[in-house]
Amino acid sequence: MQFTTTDHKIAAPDFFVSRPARGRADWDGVNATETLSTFVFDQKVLPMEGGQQFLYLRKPLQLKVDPARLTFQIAEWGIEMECFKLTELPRVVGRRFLRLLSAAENESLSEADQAEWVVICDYVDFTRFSIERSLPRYMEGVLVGRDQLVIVEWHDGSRETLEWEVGKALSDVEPGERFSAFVKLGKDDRAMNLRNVSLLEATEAQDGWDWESWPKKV
Amino acid sequence: MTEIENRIYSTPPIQERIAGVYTDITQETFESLLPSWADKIASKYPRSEPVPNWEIDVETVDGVSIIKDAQPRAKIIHLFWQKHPKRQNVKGMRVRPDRLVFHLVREEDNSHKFSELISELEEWLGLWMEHFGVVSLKGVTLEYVNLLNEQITPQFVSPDGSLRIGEAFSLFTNIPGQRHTIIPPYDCILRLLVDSKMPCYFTVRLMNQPIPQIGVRIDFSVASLAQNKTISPQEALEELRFAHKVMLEQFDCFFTEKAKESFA
Repeated sequence: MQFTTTDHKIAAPDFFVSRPARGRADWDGVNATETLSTFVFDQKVLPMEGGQQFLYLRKPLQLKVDPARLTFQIAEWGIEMECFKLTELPRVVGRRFLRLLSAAENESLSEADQAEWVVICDYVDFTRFSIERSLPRYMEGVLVGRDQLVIVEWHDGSRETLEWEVGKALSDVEPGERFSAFVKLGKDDRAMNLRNVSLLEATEAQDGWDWESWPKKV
Repeated sequence: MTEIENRIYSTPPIQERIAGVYTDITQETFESLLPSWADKIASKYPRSEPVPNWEIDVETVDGVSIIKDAQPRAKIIHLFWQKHPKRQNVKGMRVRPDRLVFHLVREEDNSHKFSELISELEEWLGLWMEHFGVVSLKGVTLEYVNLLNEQITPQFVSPDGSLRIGEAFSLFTNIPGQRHTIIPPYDCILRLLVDSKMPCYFTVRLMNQPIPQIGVRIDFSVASLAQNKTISPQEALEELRFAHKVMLEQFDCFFTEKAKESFA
């Protein structure tokens, strides 16, 4: 006799269903339902601008699911979405943040937005966001050396040892030469990135000429 | 090469082949490098189709379901597909903080070949490790999803629509007693030790597959994962080739001669 499947869609009643799920001993029914419908979003680095910038969250987002409507809410961010659109959440969060940031910068936050903005600022690593968002600055300096370490003296007289990856941008500059570059500054004003490096003429102090000996303008 | 390794089936019931390598990338590193990885693979895997994943961790103890982690998690699984003339999802790449996985899905009668899967890994594994700063790997998995149904294996479907699974699958050829019709839901798992040193395990899982047509899904998987294991990319590729040999051996054992003749 052959062993077969059924010939039509038939399913035995699932008698295990009536057995209750057991969680922590201190849960009561209401709390268990509450906890089981609150999901932690497992992503704390949200890409923005097509991955050119990121929003770093200090704590994970809590998604409160409404099983009847198959939607979820992040009340503190004023976001409500359908569950199947979860993959769009990073973009929606990014847009919400940018909208509020823009309103905050223009001092046009509504009263409700202000309260939300305070909560959101608590979520976001704002220092990191600001550093990543800042535009590069035009700076001039002298390459002191790059034998073991890449050391630069900036135009304000400060000296900085660059990370090797950052210092690579100065490979066309000779030690002792002046250069200019657009410098992206990070925490504690440390150079994170150098772009558009140009070679500059030596300054009076550097070029070895004794300008004092030149005839004075009468 | 053994006789089994040499045996080639023209129409095996394989619906999907999946190969993966495993590691540990920190969540932040993974998330911050993912957009640039998507750019890097865009010429070959241009279609990004992320998948929402809602998880509640439940385990069964003495027949009772217990919630392991009180806080359910929502995740986005990042899946990229190659372009296809019929816009089908056939060749895919899945990346997660702990793994790089390739998918190869059946196209009508073409169930593709293991060599296509391993060549994708050979092409991308080094680049993926370099991009995400992966130093070593923790093991590999190879999974074959087999489907027995009217479309893929009509030779085992009776005129009344039932599937003669005992004719195709060895484990069900000698079910004792007079009752010979399995009814859903069913989910049978058997795990076998292949090599305790590597370590390597073979798992066969048989489930009912009610959609889109009545059928049986048989998953074969070979895994060589261990928590403190560290292997190089070359060793990982070797382990995948070994896993494929195990897969061929087990395919030969678990399908009946009649089934294998019909797949030949």
